[in-house]
Amino acid sequence: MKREREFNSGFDILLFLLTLAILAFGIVAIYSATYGNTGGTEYYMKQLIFAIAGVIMVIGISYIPPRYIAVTSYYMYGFGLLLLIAVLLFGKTINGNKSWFYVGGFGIQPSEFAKLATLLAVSHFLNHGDEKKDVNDIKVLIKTALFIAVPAVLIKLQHDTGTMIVFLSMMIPILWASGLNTFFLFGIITPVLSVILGFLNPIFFYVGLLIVIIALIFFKRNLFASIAVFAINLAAGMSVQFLFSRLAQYQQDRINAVFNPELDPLRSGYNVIQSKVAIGSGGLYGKGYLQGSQTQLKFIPEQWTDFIFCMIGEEFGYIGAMILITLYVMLILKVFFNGLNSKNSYMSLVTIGIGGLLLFHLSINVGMTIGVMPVIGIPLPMVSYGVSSLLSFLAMIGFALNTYRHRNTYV
Amino acid sequence: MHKEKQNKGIINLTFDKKIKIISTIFVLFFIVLIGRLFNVQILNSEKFQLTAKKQTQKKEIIRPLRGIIFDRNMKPLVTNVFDVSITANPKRIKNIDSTLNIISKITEGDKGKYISLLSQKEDSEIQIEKLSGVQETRKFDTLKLDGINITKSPVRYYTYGSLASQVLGYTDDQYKGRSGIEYTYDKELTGSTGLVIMQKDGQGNKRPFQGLFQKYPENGSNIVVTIDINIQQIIEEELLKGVKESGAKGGKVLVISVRTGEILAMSSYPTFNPNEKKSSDTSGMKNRVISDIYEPGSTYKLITAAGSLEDNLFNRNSVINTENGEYVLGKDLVIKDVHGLPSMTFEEVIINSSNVGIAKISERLGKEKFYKYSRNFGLGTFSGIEIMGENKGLLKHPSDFKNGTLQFCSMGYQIMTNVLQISLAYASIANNGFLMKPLIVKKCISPEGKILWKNEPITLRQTVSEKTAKILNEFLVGVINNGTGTAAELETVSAAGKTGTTQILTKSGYSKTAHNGSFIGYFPSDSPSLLVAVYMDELVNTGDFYGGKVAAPVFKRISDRIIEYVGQNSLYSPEFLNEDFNKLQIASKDIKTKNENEFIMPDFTGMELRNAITILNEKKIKFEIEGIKNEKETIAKGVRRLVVEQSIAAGKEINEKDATIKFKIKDVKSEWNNTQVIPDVVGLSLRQAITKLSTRGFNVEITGTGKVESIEPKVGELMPNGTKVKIIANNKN
Repeated sequence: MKREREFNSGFDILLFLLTLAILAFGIVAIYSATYGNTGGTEYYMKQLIFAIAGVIMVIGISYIPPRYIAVTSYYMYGFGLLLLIAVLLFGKTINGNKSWFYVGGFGIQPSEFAKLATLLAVSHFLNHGDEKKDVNDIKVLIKTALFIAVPAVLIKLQHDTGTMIVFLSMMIPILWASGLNTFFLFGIITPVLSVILGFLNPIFFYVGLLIVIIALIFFKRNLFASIAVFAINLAAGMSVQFLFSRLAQYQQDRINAVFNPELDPLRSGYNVIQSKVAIGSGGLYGKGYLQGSQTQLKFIPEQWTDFIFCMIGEEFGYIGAMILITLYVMLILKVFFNGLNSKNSYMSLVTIGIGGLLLFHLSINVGMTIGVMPVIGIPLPMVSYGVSSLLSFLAMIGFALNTYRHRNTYV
Repeated sequence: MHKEKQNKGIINLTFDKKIKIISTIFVLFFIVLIGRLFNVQILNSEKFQLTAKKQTQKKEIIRPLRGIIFDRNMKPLVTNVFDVSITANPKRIKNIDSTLNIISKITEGDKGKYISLLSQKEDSEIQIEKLSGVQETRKFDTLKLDGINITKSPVRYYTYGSLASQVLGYTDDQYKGRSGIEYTYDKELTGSTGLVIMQKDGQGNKRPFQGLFQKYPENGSNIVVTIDINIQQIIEEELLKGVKESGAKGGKVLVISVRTGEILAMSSYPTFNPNEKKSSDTSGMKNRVISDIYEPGSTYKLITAAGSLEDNLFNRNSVINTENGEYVLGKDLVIKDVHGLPSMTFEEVIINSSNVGIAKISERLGKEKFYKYSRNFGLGTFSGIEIMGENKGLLKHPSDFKNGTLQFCSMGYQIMTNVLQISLAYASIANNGFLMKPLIVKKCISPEGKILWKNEPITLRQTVSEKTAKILNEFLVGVINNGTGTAAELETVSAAGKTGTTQILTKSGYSKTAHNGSFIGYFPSDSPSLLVAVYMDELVNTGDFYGGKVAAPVFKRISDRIIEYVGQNSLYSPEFLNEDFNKLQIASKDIKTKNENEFIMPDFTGMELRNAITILNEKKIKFEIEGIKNEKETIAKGVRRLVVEQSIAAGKEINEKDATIKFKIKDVKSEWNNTQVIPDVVGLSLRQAITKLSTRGFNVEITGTGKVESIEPKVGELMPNGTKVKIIANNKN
C-alpha cells in the first residue's frame, strides 16, 4: 500500500511551471491589449484572479482518483448538455453567438465546460466495461460520434462554429488513441483535405490525389476499400467547384474571405489583415511593451480575446512569439507524454485528447492571426481573455497533472 | 483472425512508435506555423510596418486662420467664424444618451432631434448637427467623445454686412481672396498652412500625435484699412437716400483725407452683402469708384483753370468773352451755356460753370499745356490705389486732338476718368497743390500684434503752386456761396466744391434725357481736411439732373454728418479721427507733426476687449479692467467681452507714460452679434447726439429741443441694433 502511494506520488513540476509561464504571458498581454480601454484594468485583474483560482483548482484536480473522474463523467456530460440547452433558451447574444450566460457581471460559456465534460465522457465510454470497446466496430464508432455530435449540434445552434469544429476535431485524437485503424482514419480525413485543396486550386487537388494514391498503395488494403477511398476523394474534390458555384453570392463571398481575406478587407477579412499588419510590423524584436501602434490604437476589435497573439507578435516580435510557441510546444508535448506514459488507460485517453485539443487550439488560433488558417473564433489556450475558457483549459492541465500522478494506477 | 492483425490503436503501439508519430505531427506543425511567422515577421516586416504607419498616421493640413481686416479705429470689419459639422457613428458611441446630452448642451440643440436622426439611418457616419457662423469653437475643440466626429471649417464673416463690401471684397470657397482688399492683400491675409501628423485609431478617431507635430500653421496677418466704418455707414445711407430721391440708376461716394490721401470711405450703389455672396447678381461687387470711367464734365473745368492760372495766362479778374452763351467752333460744333452772358471774369467762369468761358480759356492754354496739367493732376493714369480693378481712364494725346477737341476736353468731355482720379486732383488743390498717393491700407499687423509694415502718406508731386491752389480754393468756395453749388452749403463749416453735369454719350451722340450729376467738395475751406465726392449716375428723364441739384445736397448731408461724427474742432487737427498721424512725413508744410508720446484716446466703448487691449499694448498704455486680474480672462468662453466704459474720455490727448485707462466690461452672448454700447451723448446738441447714436445703428426718439439732458436706455448699456433710444432735451417747451 505504501509502495503504491510512493509509486503514484509525483507532481509534474515541469508541466506546472510551463502552465504558470503561459498564464503570466497571457496576463501581461491582456494588460497591454486593454491598456487605455475604458475600464480596461478590469480585464487583466479578472484574468489574474481567475488564474490564481484556476491554479488552485489545477492542484486539486491532480489529486482526484481517476476512477472518480470516470464515474462522474456521464453526469458531467449530462449537466453540460443541460447547460447548452439552457443557454440556447436563456443565453445572451454577444457578437452573434448565443453562447453566454451572464452571472453577476461574468460571462460564462457553457460550451467550454461541455467540451471538457464530453472529452471525459467519451473517454469513459470507450474505456468502459470489462472489455475495452473496439472503435473499429462500426456501432461503437457511431455511438462515439453521437456522443460528440449532440453537443456539437447544440453549439452550432448557438452560431459558435469555431467551438463546434473544435468538438468535431476532438474525435480524431481520441479515436486514434483508442485504436481506430489508421486506414479508416485516413479515409475520414483525406476527403476533407481534398475539398479544401479542390477549392483552393485544381493543381493542389491533383497533387493531393496523387499522394492519396501512393498512400493507398502503401496501405496495401483490399482493392475495393482502396478504390472507395479514392473515389470519395475524387468526388469531394471535383464537386467542390460545382457546389460552390451554386451558392448564393454572399455565401461565396464569405467562404472566399476565409481563404483570402484581402477580398473583403473591411468586413470578414478585416481582422486577419489587421492582425497580419500588427504581427508583421512587430519584426524581429517587436515594438516594445505597450508600444505597439496597432494594438494600442485598437485596430483589432476585442483583441484581448481571440486575437491576443497579435499583441505578442507586435510588441514582443518574432522572438517573443517564438518563446510563447516554444512554451506551448513543450507544454503540449509534456501533456502527450503524460498520456502516453500512463498505465491508466482512461486517463491516458483523456490526456491524449487534451493534448490534441491544445494543439488544435494553438495551431488554429496562431494560424488564423497570420493568415494560414481560416478565422474561427477560438481562444489561445490560457492566454486569451475569458474566464470560461481559462478555467476549462486549466482544468485540462489539472487532468494532465492527474495523469502524471496516477500514471502507474491501472484503474 | 483478421482482427488480431490490426493494431489496437496507440495504446498498443510501442513507446518509440508513439513518440515518432507525435514528433512528426509536431515537426509539421512547427514548419507551417513558424515558417509562416518568419515570413510575416521577418521577410515581410517592412511591408507591414509601412501599412501600419499608413493606418495609424495621417498627415493633415491645418488651414491657418485668415487675417482680420480692421477699420482705422480697430473695429473688426472682416473676421472668421466657423461652420461646425457634427457627425456620429452610432455603433461606436458608448453611451448614446449621455453622449447626446453633452452634445446638446454644447450646441444648445434638441437632443430628441439627434436621437431621431440617429435612428433614421443605418450609416456609419450620420450628420446630426450643422452649425454655421459659430464664433467660439473652443468648446468643440475640447470635446472628445467616442463615435463623434466634429469638423469645423472657417468661413469669412463680414461684420457689417454690405458696408464697405466693395472695398473689402470677398473670398471664394477655397478661402482665397477674389476682390478688394481680400484679393490685393491675399498673401498677407492667408498665412501659411500647418502640417500635423494625426494618430488614427482603429475606430477612426483622430488625435494629434504629440511627438510628430511637423509645422504649426501661421495665421494670416491682420490688415488695418484707412476706412472709418462709421463714415462708411454715413455715406452708404446717404448715397442710397440720394439715389432714391433723384431717381438715379446708381451712384458713387468717396471720402478722402486730403492731407494724407487716405480713403476714409468709398462706396458705389448698387452694393452687395459678401455674407450672402451666393446670389448670382454680381453688379454690386464692382467698386465703381475706381472701375467705372466716364466723362467728368464741369468738374474738369477746374483742371483747365488751374493750368491757366499757374502759367499766369490769366488772373482771377481777367475778362473773358463768353459770346452770349453760344460759341461756334465749326459745323455742328457749338458750345452753349445754360445762362448766356456776353462776358465774365475768370472767377465767374468757374463759379457759374460757363462752358464757353472755359473753352476760351483752354484756347489760350493750348493743347500741350492742357495735356501736361491734366497728366500732372494724375488724370489718364493709374492713381496707384492698392486694390485691383482700377480703370485708368482716357486722356487724348495732343497729337490726336482735332478741331474742337481741346475746347470740349476743357469742360470735361471726350475725357474719361474715374471718380478717384478726379477727386485726388481736387484733393491736391485742397492740400495746397500737393498730390497725395491714395491710401486704402494703413498697416499690416502680425497675428501677435507686431506691426509688419505701414503705409505712410506719400506726396506724389505738386500739381500747382500754393498760390494757385489758394485762388482755386476761393473759386470753389464761391461756387457754393453764390454759384451752381449753393445746395452744398454746410451747417457748421465753410465748404468748397464744384458741380458737374454731363450728358451721357450714347451710340447716337449725347443724350438729351440722360445725365450724370456730380459734386466734388471739401471742407473746411480755410483748412481743408476732408474731401467728399458724390456722383449720381444715369439720371434718365428725372426732373433734376444738375449736379448742383442731385449731388450737392447729398454732399451736404454726408459732410454735415461726418462733421458731427468727428467733431468740428477735430477737422482742424490732423488727428481728427482718433488716430495718431504722428509719424507722418508729409511734404506739405502745413501738417504739424505730433509729439510721439502723445496719443489721442480712442473710443473703446463697444469694442471687443481683446481688440482694445491690442491697441493699448501697441501704444504701451497701462490699463486696468474691472473684475479682471490676469490676461487669460480677457477672453471668455462663448461670450463677447465688450468695453462699456472707459475712464479717459475718447478724444482726449494723453501722454502714454502716466496714463492708466480703466475699463468697465460687459459680456454679451456670442450670437448677439449686432450689439452696441449706448454712447455718451448727454450734453451734446441734438444733431450731434442723433449722428452718434445712428452711426451705431440705434433709432432715435426725441422729446424737446436744445441739448441732450438724458437718454433712455442709459449710457453704457449694451443694446442690439435698431433699439429705440429716447432722448430728452433740456428745452422742453
